[in-house]
Amino acid sequence: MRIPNTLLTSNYMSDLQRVQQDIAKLLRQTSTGKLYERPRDNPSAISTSLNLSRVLASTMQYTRNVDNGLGRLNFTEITLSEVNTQIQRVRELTVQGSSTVLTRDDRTAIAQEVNQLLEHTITLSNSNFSGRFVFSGYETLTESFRINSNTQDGFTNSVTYQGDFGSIARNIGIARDLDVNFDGHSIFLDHTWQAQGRQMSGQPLGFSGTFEINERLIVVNPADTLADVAKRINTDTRSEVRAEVTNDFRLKLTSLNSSKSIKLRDLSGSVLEDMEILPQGAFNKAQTGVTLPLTDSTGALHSAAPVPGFPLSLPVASQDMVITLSGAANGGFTESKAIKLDAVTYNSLADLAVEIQKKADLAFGEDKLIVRDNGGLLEIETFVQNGSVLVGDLLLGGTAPDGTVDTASNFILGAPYGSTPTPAGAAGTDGNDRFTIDLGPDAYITRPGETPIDLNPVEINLDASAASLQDIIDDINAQILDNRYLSGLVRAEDDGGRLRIITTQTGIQVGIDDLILRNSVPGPPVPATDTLGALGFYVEPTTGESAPPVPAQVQSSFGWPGAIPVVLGQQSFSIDLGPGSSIDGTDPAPVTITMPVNVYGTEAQLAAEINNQIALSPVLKNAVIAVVVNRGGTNFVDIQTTNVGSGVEGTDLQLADVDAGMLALLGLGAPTIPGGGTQPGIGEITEADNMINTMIQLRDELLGYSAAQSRLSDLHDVNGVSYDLAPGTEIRIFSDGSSSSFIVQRFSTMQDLADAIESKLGVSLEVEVQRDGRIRVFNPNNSVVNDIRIEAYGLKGQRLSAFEERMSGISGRLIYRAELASRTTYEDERFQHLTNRIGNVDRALEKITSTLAIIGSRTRRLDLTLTQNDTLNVNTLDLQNKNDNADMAEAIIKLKERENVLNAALGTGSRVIPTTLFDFLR
Amino acid sequence: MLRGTFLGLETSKKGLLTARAALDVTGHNIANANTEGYSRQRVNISASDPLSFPGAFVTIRPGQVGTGATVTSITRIRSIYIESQLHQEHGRSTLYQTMSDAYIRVEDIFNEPSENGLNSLMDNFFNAWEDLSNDPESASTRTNLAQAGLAMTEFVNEQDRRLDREVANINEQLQDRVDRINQLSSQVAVINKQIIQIESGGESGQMKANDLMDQRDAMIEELSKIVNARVLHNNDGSLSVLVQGHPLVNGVDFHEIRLQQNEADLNRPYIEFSKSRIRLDIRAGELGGMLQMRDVELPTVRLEQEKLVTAFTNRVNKLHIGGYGLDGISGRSFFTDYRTEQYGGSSALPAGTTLDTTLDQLGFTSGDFFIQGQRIEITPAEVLASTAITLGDLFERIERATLDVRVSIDGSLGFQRVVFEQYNPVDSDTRLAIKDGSSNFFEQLGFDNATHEKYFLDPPYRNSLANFSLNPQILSDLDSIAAAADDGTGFPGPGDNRTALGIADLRNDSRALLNSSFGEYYQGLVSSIGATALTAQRSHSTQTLVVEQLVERRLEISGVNLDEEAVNIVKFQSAMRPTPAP
Repeated sequence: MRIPNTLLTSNYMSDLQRVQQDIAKLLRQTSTGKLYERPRDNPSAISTSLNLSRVLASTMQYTRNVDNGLGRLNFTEITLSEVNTQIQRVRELTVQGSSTVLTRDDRTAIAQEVNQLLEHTITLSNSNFSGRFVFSGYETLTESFRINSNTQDGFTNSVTYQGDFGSIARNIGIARDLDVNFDGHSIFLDHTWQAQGRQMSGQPLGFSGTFEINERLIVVNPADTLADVAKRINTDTRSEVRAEVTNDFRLKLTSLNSSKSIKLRDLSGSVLEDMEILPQGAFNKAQTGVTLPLTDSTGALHSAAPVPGFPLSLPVASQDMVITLSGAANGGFTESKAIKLDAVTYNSLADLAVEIQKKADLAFGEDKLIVRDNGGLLEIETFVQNGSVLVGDLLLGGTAPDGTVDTASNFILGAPYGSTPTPAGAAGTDGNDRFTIDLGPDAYITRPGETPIDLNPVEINLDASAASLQDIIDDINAQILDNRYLSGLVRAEDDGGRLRIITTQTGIQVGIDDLILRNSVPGPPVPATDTLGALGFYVEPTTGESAPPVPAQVQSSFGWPGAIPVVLGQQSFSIDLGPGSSIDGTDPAPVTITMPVNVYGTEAQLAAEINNQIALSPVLKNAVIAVVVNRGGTNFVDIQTTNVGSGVEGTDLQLADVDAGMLALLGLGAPTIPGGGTQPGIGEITEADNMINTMIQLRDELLGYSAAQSRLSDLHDVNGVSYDLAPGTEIRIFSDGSSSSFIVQRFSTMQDLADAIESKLGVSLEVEVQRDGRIRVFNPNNSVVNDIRIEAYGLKGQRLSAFEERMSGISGRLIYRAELASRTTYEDERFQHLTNRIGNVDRALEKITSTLAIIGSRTRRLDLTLTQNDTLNVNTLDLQNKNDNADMAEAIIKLKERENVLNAALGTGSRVIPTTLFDFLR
Repeated sequence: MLRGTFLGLETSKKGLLTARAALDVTGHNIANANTEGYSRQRVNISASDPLSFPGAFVTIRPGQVGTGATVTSITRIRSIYIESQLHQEHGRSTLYQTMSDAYIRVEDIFNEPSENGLNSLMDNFFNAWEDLSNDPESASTRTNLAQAGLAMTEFVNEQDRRLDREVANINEQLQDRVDRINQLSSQVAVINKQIIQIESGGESGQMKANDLMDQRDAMIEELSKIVNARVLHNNDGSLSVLVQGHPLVNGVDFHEIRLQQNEADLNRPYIEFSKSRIRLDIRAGELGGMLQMRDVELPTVRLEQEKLVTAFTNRVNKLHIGGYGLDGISGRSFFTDYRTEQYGGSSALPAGTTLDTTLDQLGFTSGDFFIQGQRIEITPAEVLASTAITLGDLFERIERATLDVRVSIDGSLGFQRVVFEQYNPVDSDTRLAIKDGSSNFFEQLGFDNATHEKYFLDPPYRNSLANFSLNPQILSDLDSIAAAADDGTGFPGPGDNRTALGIADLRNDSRALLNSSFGEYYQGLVSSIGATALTAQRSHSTQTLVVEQLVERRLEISGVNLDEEAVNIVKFQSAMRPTPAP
């Protein structure tokens, strides 16, 4: 092989270059410490390196997240431990307070401590962690609880949760989230009213209508989904109710107020509601007593609708009613007594209650039972410790307003005064609507030094912005108040969805209940409008007579008030030919009618559809018919018996809701009770056993403090009906044959009244206003209190029987009830209540303890995660080192080695290369 | 017959002249021992023609008289075989060298591994979302997040510019190389002409223009580094140079090539013969490397990165649009959304259809269909009443399978219809493609006569890298960053961090982008860039060795060995000395 001279040098040079490249690379490694500079240096190692750096970055982030979560949980833990201490103390105080040997001052001191604990607990519930309220759910910038306090004494009456139920999570690892918050409601308001509907779907609802939650109007449109309805409920925070849609599409309502229940009411959009038939199945408050189911002659349950002053009669000559009382005293006892009720007509349920009370007192002895009209339900309670009451059936019949005796229907049917339920946003309130209120010729006003005068009609202009019945009522009342003649004499009120305008008979002397309402006929250019009709008045009284109660239904016919057009979506109701009717001698079973989904534009369309459905039933066909009847200019759809079919006899007809109204459509027919169980019908729970409310009640019970400061001129019940006592009203107190009187002053309170009674009764008896609004007379020495009677007289000397009923303790659900509880053992009851409270306190404690336990376990999990992350971090760093970093020792040794090679090569090269033959030839 | 008296002298003179010539060539060799491209030359010496003595006495003394030696030719020692091998291997070597060098710049564009590469920037972005989830009420975490987003968008925009610049650089260099090819090939043609003239001057095969041929070889070698050139040797001593079978030089003719503007793609001018307009598809040499980079490698890298950014933009935006900002407003995107195209059904869905409506309720049949070339299947079980999936599930499946498609129920025309929209596609040429498979899926969705709309954007949409930016609303009002989720009942509250958690979780979503997570996809992209670069570099190293060996072989044959030449001097000097004189 030939070796040319240039070959030697070029080979030598390229080899030398390779060595130099190696040296350069090794030098770079030693200077940067990194094994690779660019992806080509080792693609798979670079890939690993990128992966490891991602793992490292996320692990370090997770550690940050965990640290953040730990901070928040630790803060929550400290706060709740403090709450725990508060509640422990409350428990001690409760036990102390229930001791019978304490004086009133002792109790006041305890109550004041409870109040302090309460206030501190509320402060704790509003804790914020670096500016974020920890108990507000997602509403971290909003104070968790708003305090609703009594303006007179500054005491907290209730709190309203202003947060939501959101749970905030921290990302503590790949696909590992951990909640780090507890919403305040679940801790401080655990055991508050809730309602949950039936399962629906995520689709648009397809029906429409309106309903009320705590008197706030909610409109439902066919295109709305359940979530839209929930959103609308939540938007109006004044209802103090939060709505959620559960994962299985149920509407869930939760009261945000520590004490307030949820009141639900259908306004429109349902078949039977629109026919003035209220949903059946009232809520029973049966704790130490029972609520007597009022049955009619068919055995059907009657509604819980209040029956103000509706005459009742017992259809049978006399009836026996069996009351069984059992208790724990004397080693346990059970007593059954038959009570015979006279076949007379009672003016009201309250009268009936009085009658039963009297008989029961005779049968069982005094101070055992309390019988009263609890908002249209006859309620029998016992004060016997651990007692219970059983009541047998009672058959009642009602006398319809037209005088006919209604044995089959019940006494709720009557429309009290001239108005049908007024739909919200009543048609016609367009700014041109007006009507007049006239105190008729029989009404007169006497002012000091004036002759009695008859007033001119006063015109009321309706505000176009009125959105609900309540708005209309407020509007009318404001205008009445502005009028110096009508002020105090006339008022508008919401009577179960109806607009009702009444004379109040209080204030300065007013003559008889003469009131005339008339549509205004304003001059051109504003056209006359039938405002009253639009407001639901279907009879316009034209005479000087007091507005007569107009029957919405005559026997066996049920009226449609004309809320047209109406949208129906598969609602059902049943038509039953009652026992008074028969076909070929037998009483047929109820027939369910289901209304097809449609918009019914006229009453005729509606009647036609009902008749279509009736025709499908062999039973109802020819026996029942739906007709359109015009009453007072308004069309009604009545369902009537025809008596024309073969073999049909009698006129007895009953309708019942199969598919209840709007709320039922939303699935809200069956609310749940805290602590489990469901309740038929739409009910309300007046007891809210949550932590805050328990403390408030404890304080109030210990204080004996209550509605004592409420004004006598501002008493009203849950329906908004006022029972105010105008200044000047005289209250006469009879006891032991003597009497004294108390004149209601402008700012007289319940406490004033109680004091007046106490001063009359003398030193041996004490009188106090209880938290629940009842005035209670008791004897500290446990001896018997003699009979006390209260009478009230208005300015014209008329008896104010409505107030007297309440004073006698048998009246309906007043917020501020006034009840004279004579002849009862006060201490027993107090003991009982406080003992009950201990249960509630214990439950609150348990809640806190279990929450603390959850926090503990989460903290442990976070700590564990921290350790894991640290390990992962170290391992990843290690891997990354191995993968990315140059081995310095190796690099340096290699560098040295290459350097040696280079030096040797240079040395040799310089000597070897030039030699050729020429050198020898020379 | 008598011989001339001076015949012997003449013979001696010839010997001297021959030796002299040989010594001259040897000297030439020695002088050029280190000349690049020089091939050693050899003197071919043969005996000159003898004299015959015809005559009467021929039979008595027959014979011919030698007349001495003469130089027949001076030739180069060179192997044509090695030469042509070398041309080929040069082409390959420069191909890989060009690619390897260009990939260094691609690697620089990605800048991995480093703290400033997209890998870290994505980590920072997701970490910023996590920080926001820890404190959704604060302004500082929002600022931090916006900055992390900006860092990412700016990096990607810069990548777009640098990838563009890379293409522009290649185009400039292409022009330079084409000019050089024309220069070289025209010179080869000129030399060809000179050689033909010289060589045709002597007797056949005697005149060799050795040094010109060396010059020409050097030019061809340079040419073979630029382009894959094949050489044909013509009988007249000229050479033809072929590229892709088309003659660049044909004897004395040379064919000019030029860079021609590509009307279809302004960024991709191509090379053609100026006269015949034959387009050249060059696969080797520097030119081959540049074209490979410009037309294959860079577009691939760009497309992969564009896919990543398209998916990233759309996944983040989809979640962000569904979330609520601190100001209680939802429906805003985090990155700027570019809607480019839309297909909408023309007939209405059944009344009351929502995302919760099941396929069973809509009466769907099973089957498959194609969106953006992705096959999506609805199995028979999924349309059963008991197990039916919902429209929302189906939409999500479609969005997951594609990079740039969003599906929704739209009511803007006054009735409910399904709309397929394309957002932030990889580039403006990517169209929205929907196609039925075995079932009439689109007809079932109401697409019997689909309404199609293409949105022309101002400024025009280029590609997902160039148009990657933060929504200006986000920058102007940090409260519009959505940390809170939407559960259908309005703004949940400032403490809600569910959307932030959801977006942060995208980093672990193993199906975020065609069955891999963003990080894995990016990691794959970087490592494939590294692998390609490494392959090019390794091939270049191997090729360099091959070329070196061939050069060695050539040197072995054509190189000057001074020892040998020294021996030759001694040989020819001694040949001069003893020449007998009569």
